[in-house]
Amino acid sequence: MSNKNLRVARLIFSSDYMHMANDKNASKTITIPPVTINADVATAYGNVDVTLPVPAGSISRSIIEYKGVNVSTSSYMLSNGSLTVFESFQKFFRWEIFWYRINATQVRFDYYIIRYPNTTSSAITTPSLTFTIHQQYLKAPS
Amino acid sequence: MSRLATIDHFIFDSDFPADMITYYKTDSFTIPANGTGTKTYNHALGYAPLCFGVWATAQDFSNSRPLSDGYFSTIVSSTTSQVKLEYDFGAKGTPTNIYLRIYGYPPSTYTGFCPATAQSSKPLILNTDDNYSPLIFEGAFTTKTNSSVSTLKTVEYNVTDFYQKQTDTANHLTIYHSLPYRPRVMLWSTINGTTKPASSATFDYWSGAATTRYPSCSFYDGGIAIPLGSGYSGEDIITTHVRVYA
Repeated sequence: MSNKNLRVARLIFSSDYMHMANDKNASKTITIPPVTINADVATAYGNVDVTLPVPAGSISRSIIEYKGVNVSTSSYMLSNGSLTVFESFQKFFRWEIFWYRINATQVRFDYYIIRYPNTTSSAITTPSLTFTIHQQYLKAPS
Repeated sequence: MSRLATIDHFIFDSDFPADMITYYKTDSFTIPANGTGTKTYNHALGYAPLCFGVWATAQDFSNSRPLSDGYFSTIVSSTTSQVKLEYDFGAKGTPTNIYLRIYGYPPSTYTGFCPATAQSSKPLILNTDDNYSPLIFEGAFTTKTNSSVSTLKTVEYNVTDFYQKQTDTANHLTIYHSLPYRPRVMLWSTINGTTKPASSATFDYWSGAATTRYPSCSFYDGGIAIPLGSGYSGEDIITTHVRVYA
């Protein structure tokens, strides 16, 4: 190798090295309505499918934003597909969102609303939250 | 600094570095009946790569999930000698066979030379038909140096057009930038010599353990806030690895 800068050699463009190219950028908004979770239920579940020409095996780097009543917009990393939202307004629930591709053209977002184990035994209702997921898909070998 | 006034309108400029993949592993195997197992792959990179990847039940990856996905327990981790996949499909429906792709970046803590990797798959080779995300920030922050003392290593970066400055306070890293949008971030944690993606925190939560050993990331206009992991007693060295992409 002729590159004399050892540190830069780990990062710089070169056809001698493998890189991951971008393929698609996409955004999807999911609104999760208020959900009542009964005393004997720990988790409520839903999903939404998104049709995208996403290349097989693609890697995603993502940001998720959420907003609700009396909740300012917050953004978090959706790292490798999962998110756990921890916020001070949440005393009884947490939300988790996962993404995965279900076929050649569609990506599915699963969301879970999970009751904290130490909450009261009566039925409780979640607030409504709107999640906007910004996905950047990286090309993978096909 | 580039002499072109609108250099950001173009790609392939050494002002805009891109990550390179120094570890790439494909595999396929049969899942045992109990849905649980471990695969290890030896390597001689000289460092623990920052791994990520996907697994699929379809050979062409027409369906796939990220590794360290929080729903299925598929944790990818690395040490200086091995890359490991620990999976536990358990009660969630065991697939019969899975196909695996693992990718890895060199960590910022490694200052040695990385040899050429171009002999691997064609879609990963630089192509001017493709777009590449500039890497605008990379770093590694050691937040704990022994089992009883939590310290934060101060790291200085040059100010550029993209990132204005980064500051750190106790167990917290803030990266200020001038981008008109919120950039992408990738995070990993090294705990006692093993490096895992930050999303592995979900498994710790489900197992009843605290997740403070893993970094998370929140965004606001002009900045990124990353609370850095502080770990448990007995965990001697915790390092957070950060990559930010425009």
